[in-house]
Order: sequence, then structure tokens, then C-alpha cells
Amino acid sequence: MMGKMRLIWLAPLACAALELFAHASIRNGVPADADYRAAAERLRAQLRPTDAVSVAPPWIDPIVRQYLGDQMPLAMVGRPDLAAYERLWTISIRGHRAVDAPDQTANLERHFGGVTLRRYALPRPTERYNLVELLQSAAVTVDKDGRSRRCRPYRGLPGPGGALGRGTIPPSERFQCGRDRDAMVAAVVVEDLALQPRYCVWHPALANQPITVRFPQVELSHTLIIDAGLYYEHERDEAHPPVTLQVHINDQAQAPLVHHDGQGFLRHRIHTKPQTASLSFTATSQRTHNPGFCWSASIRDTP
Amino acid sequence: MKTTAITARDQLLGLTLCVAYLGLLVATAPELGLSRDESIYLYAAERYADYLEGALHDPAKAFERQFIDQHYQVNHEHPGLIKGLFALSSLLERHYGLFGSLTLAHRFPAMVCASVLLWLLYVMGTGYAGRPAGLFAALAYALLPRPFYHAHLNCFDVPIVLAITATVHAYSSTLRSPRQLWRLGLVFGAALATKHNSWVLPALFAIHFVWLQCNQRWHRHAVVPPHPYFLAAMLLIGPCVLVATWPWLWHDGWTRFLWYARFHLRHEYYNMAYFGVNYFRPPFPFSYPWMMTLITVPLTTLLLGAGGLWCESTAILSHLRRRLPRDPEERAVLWLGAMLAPLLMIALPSTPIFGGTKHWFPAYPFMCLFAGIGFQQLLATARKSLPEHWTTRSQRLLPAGLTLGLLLPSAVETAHSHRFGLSHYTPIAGGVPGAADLGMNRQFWGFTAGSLERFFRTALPNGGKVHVCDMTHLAFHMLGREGHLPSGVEPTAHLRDADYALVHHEHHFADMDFQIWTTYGTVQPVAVLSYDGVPILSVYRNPRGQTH
Repeated sequence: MMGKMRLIWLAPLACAALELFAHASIRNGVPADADYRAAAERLRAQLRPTDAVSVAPPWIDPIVRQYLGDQMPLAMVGRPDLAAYERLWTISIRGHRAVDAPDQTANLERHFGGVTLRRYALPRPTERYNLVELLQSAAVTVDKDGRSRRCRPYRGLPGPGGALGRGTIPPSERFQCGRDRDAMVAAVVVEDLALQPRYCVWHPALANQPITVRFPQVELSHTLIIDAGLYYEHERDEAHPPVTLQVHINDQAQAPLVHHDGQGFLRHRIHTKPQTASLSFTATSQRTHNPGFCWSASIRDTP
Repeated sequence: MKTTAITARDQLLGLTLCVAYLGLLVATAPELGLSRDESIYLYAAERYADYLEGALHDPAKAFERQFIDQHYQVNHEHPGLIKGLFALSSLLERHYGLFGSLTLAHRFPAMVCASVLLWLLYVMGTGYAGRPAGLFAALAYALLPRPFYHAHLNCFDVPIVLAITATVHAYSSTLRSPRQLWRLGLVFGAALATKHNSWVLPALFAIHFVWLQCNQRWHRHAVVPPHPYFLAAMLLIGPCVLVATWPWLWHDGWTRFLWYARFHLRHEYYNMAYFGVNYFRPPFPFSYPWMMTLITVPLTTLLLGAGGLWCESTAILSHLRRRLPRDPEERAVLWLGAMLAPLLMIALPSTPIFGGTKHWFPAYPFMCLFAGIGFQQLLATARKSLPEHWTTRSQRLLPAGLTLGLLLPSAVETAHSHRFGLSHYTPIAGGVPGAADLGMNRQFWGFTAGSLERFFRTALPNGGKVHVCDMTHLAFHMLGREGHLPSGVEPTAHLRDADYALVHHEHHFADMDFQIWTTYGTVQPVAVLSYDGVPILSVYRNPRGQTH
């Protein structure tokens, strides 16, 4: 026993050797750029417009977008779920599995060095379209000082700025409701409370100047799914009044969606009848600042 | 514990360590872009340099309020000593071109602090436990990946480590020799004039002094001063140094000092990712500094530090039980307190955790001293276990071999961390990719844009505009000024006007990705700078950019 104890000084040396080995092993396990490129090329060759792409772990997302970003529209990267898609491709490393991958065996699985490409079949798509994509066909008005005024459609240069905490920059296509930068309605990608991208209609909810977005003719189906919340920094302090989104179908008020700070994006389901109808969305709040409310509205077949 | 008298040879070895480390820092500094805080301190120090020049030219103006305020108003949330040194260094560059680079000129004083710290650690470790302990402690500190990054910067985080360590050393010296009190006062003053971390020192020493008094009553043979004269020296001389080195306090000083104190006591909260949660307000997790230390400090150094602490603790308890005298100054107890204090301060749920690991760097020299003690014990055990037929030469090679073997992981990890010091994690976290899986902070301060030199040379050979995300415009200008960018490459505050836009990948900086997607209509970066496969920076091209 004493003889063995005399060799205890070798333990830290063993620890050092282990640390060195682990360091080398971690570095060797990093997938090469060529592996990502090869996986992306394979995916690109088979990608369909009704396919979605996910990555795992989420932090490899910028690398995957570098090779495939031209095939990834804002609507796909900021999607609320997979209801609009027929197939899901996943690109993963280190044995990770994409969080939205279905609980089933992949139809296709290929390995490119340390990068794994998988393809899953999804249930029949239930989303017909999302109103975010149709925003340019809407009429936008703002009620201020007892008067309703039309917000001017604008197409041109994006707005100025770009900094942490801004939430969004006025994009090149937008509705401008006055000179105030915040008073603008547009299809944007915002950071939600979980720091995830949300492709949605930026619809500020400021006290005493409710803005209404009205779609004159919408082909409805069985369900209207609304996903709504606030830009991360506008709700994370949990200190501001709630926002109410009032939806009217053919001028008939539906149950309102009331969003409180700290709830993140909420899902609101409205049962509808298949018909052509007018749809309007009005956001109201007592907020004097941090008005960054954003919603997407998906017309779905599912009853 | 084996007390060793410090000889001239020891001082020479300490100086050699110091100079070698300084050379290494100077050689590796150009690869690091200026960080956010550095650019602010550089701007402030340039104003201080103007003040010094003006005061030399017309000494009467040196005390005029308007003249002082004109130069010291900027960045008055930090004291003047270290920025004053940056300013002096900048003047040497201005007038003599001594450094060949304004960035290096500003960084040089803090690099000297980092290097002198090694010398001091060698002396402290050697004095307490022997030369192998002192040398190992100094080398172990030099090879900590994150402190190595910070050692390059014109910031206060490393100078305050030196100032606090030196104050602790000076305090223990006063216990031996009360004639050293004036030195303690001056060194503590320098610490006060460096950063507010030093405010905790009188309390720490008071606790230690109470421990000594109790010990004295118990043993009846330890020799310590009967009264806490050290407090008088610290509280009388220290503030004088603070005021003398910070002209901002020369007018309306008390009000301005209170503002300074309030600024730090009610510091705003920044974002910090920890296990997948983006913390931006209290309560912050108590585990933060402990866990971050575990996953950013090389494991072997931690293990030896724990071993050294264990040896010292058992020895102290054993001596207490037997009522035997040990170290009259109880330096191990003092060092334990100095090591734990910064960690405990940051662990408080109300303390902002915006600075990653740097805010408890003052703990690391003491951790490394314990690692040195652990190493000394290990060496003694190894010597005993060697076969008797081993030659004297082999015995002599043992310390060098063990030092090399035990510090090799630190050296390899530190070398690998260079350019990405704030993104580095040790194998305990699974390295950089493992930490990304765990949802740990990846960087801050925006300095990694300095690694895009080659990209900009190819993409913007004739100049253009870049939206620089977390990097300050001044820091980006400095890259250009020092030849790291093609001429005519300028920062812009507007995404729409930029040819390229950067995103520094931190959890909450996803906001910038999404603003760019919305503005440029694409999610595709044209380049991704990664470290061990983990994205650090994305570069987007503006489809409306002028240079396409």
C-alpha cells in the first residue's frame, strides 16, 4: 500500500496527459469546412420549395447558412412550425439531433466526415399560406387624435441605423405611418424572447395610436393560427402594459389575443369557415415605448 | 513550508521571467484587434496625454478646473493612474516613435504590469515555499489562457491584479517590519488609483489581522503588531495617491468621488450567456465564477492549486491543534482570503457579471501560488519515490521535467487560445465546441473583427464601408491606421450604407443577424470566422453595397 502511495505524484502528470489528449481529441473532432460544403451540395441538389432545413446544434447555423443561405428564405428560417413543409432536412454534427426533427427514422441519412445529413418526411402540409407573405396587399391605417389615416406604402431604401436593441430596421418595403421610425408596419425577422428568429408582421402597439392592418380578401380555411409576441428587448424586462391584438373577420370581432411581457410568442387559434373574407388586425396597448409587437397569421386546413 | 530568503539571483530570475513574458506579449499583440473598452481608454488616455503636454507647456494651467475638466471629463468612471501611464506611453510614441504603433504604445504599460506580476509571484512563492514553488506559480499564471489575452490590453483588469497582489504582499511585509507601512500605503494607493476592486482590501486585511490576534492569544508566541497600524497607513496614504494621480478629483473632489463610487455600486447590467440563459438582470447564479473558473483554467493547474491548498490547510490545522508556531504572518490564510474574496464578490447574485472571468482575475495569482505549493509537495514526494540508484543529475532534472509535464497542457491551450482568448474553454467543458453546446458566452468587446484582415484585403481592396457590430468605430479606425485594413475602409453606423456588415456571435447578438436579414433580404453570410468549428463572426454582403 505504501509503495503505491509513493507513486501518487504521478497522478497530476496523468491528469496533464489526459488534458492534453482531450484537447487534441476535441480539435480533431471539429468537422472540416469541406464536410459542410459537401453536405450542403448534396442537399441543394435535392431541395424542393416545400422543404425546410434545420441544424443541430443550433450554433452551427451560421456555417450552414454560409453554404445554403441562398436557398433559405426568411419565411423558412423564421417559421413558427413545420406546417407549411413536406420534408425536413437536418444538418448536424457531434451526434446532435435537430429539435424539430420528427420522432421517426430518417428517409435518408448520409455522412460527410463529421457532418450528418438527414431527410425526414413530414405529415401532409396544412398551411395554405401565411399573411406575412401577403402584407403588401393589405391596407394599413393608424388612428391618432380621433382620425384614421392611411399609412403610406413605401418601397425604396431601408431605414437608417442598425444596432443591438433596435429590434428591426425599416426594410425596403414597408408601410410608414408618419415620421416616427417606430410607426411602421412591415414583414421583418425579429428576435423573440427565446432569442430565436420570427418572421412576422412588425405591428407597433403604442398608446393612443392603434394601427390596423386590413386584408380585404382572404381565402380562409378551417383555422387561423396566429403566433404573436414582442421583440426580445421590448418584453424581457416584464415591465410594460400588455398588448391586445384584436382580429376581425368580415368586421366581426374574434376573441382577442392578450399578450403580457415575459410570455414570448403565443399561439392563438381561431376556428374559421372556408370562405373569402376580410381580415383585420388591430394592436392596442397603453405602452409609451418598446412597442415592438409582431405577429404571423397562418391559414390552415386543419379543423 | 520552507521559507527561503530572496537573493539577488532570485531577483534576476524574476526579472528574466518578466522580460521574457513582456517580449512574448509584445510579439503577439498585433494579432489582436482593439477591443471595445480598450478603444474607450485609448481615447481617454489621448486626452490625458494632451493634458500632460499642456501642463508641461504651461504649468499654471495644470490646476485650472476648466483645463482639467476639458481633458479628464471623458471616462471619469475610472481613476487616473493607469490611463495616465497609457498617456505617458502614448507621449513617448508621439515624440519619439518608440513603439512604432499607437496601439502598442497604449498597451505597453499594462503588459509591463502583467510581466511584473510574474516577478512578484516568483518572489512571493519562493519566499514562502521555495524556488520550485515560486517558479511554478509564476509560470502557471503566465500560461492561463484568459489572463494571457487580457495581459495584452490597455485595460485595468491586469494592472489591478498586480496592484492587489502587491498590496497583499506589502501588507504581509508590514507584519514582519512595521517600517514597511509607508510602502503598504503607497501600493494600496496605486491599487485604489487603478480600479475599484481594491476597495475590499482593508476589510480582507482586517479579517486576517483578527485571525492573527486570535492565533497570538492561542499560541502566545506569534509576533504580530498589537494594533492594526496597517489600516491607518492604507486609509491615510491610499486616498492621497488616488487624488494625486487623478486630477478629476482636484476640484469638487468629494462630489465627484461619490459619483464614481455610486457608478460602480449601482453598475448597469449587461448580457451574459451562461448554460444557455442570457442573463441581463439579477439574480445571477452563485455558481457563475466557480464554474467559469473550472472550465477556463487548465485542469492540471486547478488540481495542483487544490493540492497546495489541501496541504496548507492540513498543516495549519495540525499546528493549531498542537499549538505550534508556523508562519508568523499566516500568509497561506491571507492568500486564501485574497483568492476567495473576488470569487465571492462576483458570486453574489446582485453583482453584475458582464466581464466574464476578468473580474475575479485577482484570485488567480493566489490560486497559482497554491499550485506552486502543490508542485513543491509533489516534487518532494517524487524525490522520495525515486530509486536510490538514480544519479544526482537525474534528481536535478526532475523539477524541470515535472514543470514541463505539468504545464504543457496550459502552454498548449494558451497558445491555441491566442486571437480568441475570450472564446476559449478547457477540455472540462468539452473545449470550445463543448462550451457552445452548453450555451456559454462566446466572446464580448468585439475585438475578434481584428481577425478579418485577410478578408477585407480581398473584399475591399479599394476601400468601402463596414457595419462593425460590437466593435467600436475607433477600434476599427485603429485597425486601418495600423495597416491591418486597406486604405479607405471605414466603419458606418447604418446597415443600409455598408458594403459589409459583421455579427459577433453572442446569444443576444442574434438581434443583429435578424436586422441584417431584414435589411439585406438574405440570411447568407459570405464568410464565417470560426474557432474550433464554432462561429465567432459572420460577414454579410449588402446587395445594395457601392462596391459590387
